[in-house]
Amino acid sequence: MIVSNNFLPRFLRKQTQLLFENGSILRMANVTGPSTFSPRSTVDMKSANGSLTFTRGKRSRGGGELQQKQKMVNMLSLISPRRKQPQRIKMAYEDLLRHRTVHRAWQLVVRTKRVERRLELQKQYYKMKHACDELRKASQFLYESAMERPSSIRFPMEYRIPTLSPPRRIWDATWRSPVEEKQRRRTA
Amino acid sequence: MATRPYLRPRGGNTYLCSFHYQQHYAIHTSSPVSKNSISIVHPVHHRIRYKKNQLQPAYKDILNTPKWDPRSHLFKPQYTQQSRVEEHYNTTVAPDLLLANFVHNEAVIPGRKRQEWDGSSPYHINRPRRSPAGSAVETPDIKPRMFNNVPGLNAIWVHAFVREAVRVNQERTLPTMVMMQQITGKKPRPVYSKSTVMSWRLRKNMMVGAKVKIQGPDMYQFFATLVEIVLPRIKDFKGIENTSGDMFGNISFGLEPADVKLFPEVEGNPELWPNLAGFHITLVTSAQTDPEARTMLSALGLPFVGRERLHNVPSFEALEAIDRKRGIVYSY
Repeated sequence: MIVSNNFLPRFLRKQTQLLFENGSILRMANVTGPSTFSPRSTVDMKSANGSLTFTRGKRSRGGGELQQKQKMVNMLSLISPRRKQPQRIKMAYEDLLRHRTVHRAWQLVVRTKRVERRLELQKQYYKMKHACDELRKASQFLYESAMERPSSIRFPMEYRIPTLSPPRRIWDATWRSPVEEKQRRRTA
Repeated sequence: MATRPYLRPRGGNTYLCSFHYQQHYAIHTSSPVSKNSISIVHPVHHRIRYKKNQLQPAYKDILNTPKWDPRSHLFKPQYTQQSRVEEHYNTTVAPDLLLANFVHNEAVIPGRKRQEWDGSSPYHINRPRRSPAGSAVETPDIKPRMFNNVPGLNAIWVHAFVREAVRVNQERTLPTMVMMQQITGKKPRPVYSKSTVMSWRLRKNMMVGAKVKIQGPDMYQFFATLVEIVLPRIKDFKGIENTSGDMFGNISFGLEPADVKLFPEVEGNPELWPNLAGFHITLVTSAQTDPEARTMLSALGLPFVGRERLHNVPSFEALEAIDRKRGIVYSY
């Protein structure tokens, strides 16, 4: 595959040109580090990437245009699945059985968890409903004041997605909610 | 549910037709049809396009292995590691949202539907219904919030329009497409222009952008990167506008080209990405209204700023009216 220079880190971008008698140019796209680099001598073929690339073509004045086209071809090849498909997995019968067993066991675990979560939510919902019914029977005034809800509900930033390791500042004793902070500033 | 007459399956033989059909549907033949005969209309063979190359015996087992089989070339292993955001949503966010959105004894809040004619005129029979009152299209009913319809994140659309593709060269979409693939993990589809506008040098069917839809663990990963890495580092970013939303729970916002460079895939090697376009991000949620969607997204770490627009959320008076019909009257 032909790789454009612009897709390489800067230190690998040096280009060498070997001019032949018939006018064609052999251009090396990948070369080693600057310490061993020498333009006219034979160059070590192994590059940092481990891949070897050449571009061969007649000496052309529109080198910039060709480079542009090359860049576009490279980008298209990055998007396309050509020559990037992984090898198909070959499984013996016993391996297949093992895979199936493990897969089914895992699917069972996932399904159990899903059903359990749904059941939890269901129980929660009916408990809340029952509590509201009881409150209504007990006191109409308390019920109506409990039914007032804000039109815009937001969870605070501190309610963050948990990470494997704890945050740098584990507990902030001086934290106040934004509403409290505003009130405090007004009164102070 | 009445079906339209021309869509109902025709009873009887479709092959044998009486004489008068012969005039319209039969293939014209040189021999004239006699007066008292039945003319046979041959069935139309619908030809299906197929690639004959794919029916060769070497491809037999490849084409017959299903996508979920690990021996298939299309198999993609999912959930090889924990999906952080999904776990957080399932464990913490969903129960809290159920509590936050709970409304006691909720009724179905009807949306705007097509209006039936009242029957005062005989011409009202079979007349098509009128367009909804106060809206060009029908709006869905808002169902009571229960344990089975807690708002969640369903999909994320990333869509880029590349202006240079119109002005300079259609190839200018390619760097943006590669960038979208790197960021989302899925190959984007190109977007073609739908009309010709000479003043903008735009022609029909020019490749002017790209779009990609991500779901599942990829979506949650992209969302986490966005919320934890990219958005906090945007200059003067306070939050997504509270007015953003399509009335039915889908929130959109955009990123500038400078902000796109903050993605780790792009930031790691900036010299590889010289010309990038920004893109729009649409968060498709299962919320029924925009405020609910914003509540859910705020629980997942997305900040919002500005005055909220309560579109499609019924007013207090409207809710009272619905309750009054059911016999519930409030006294203040």
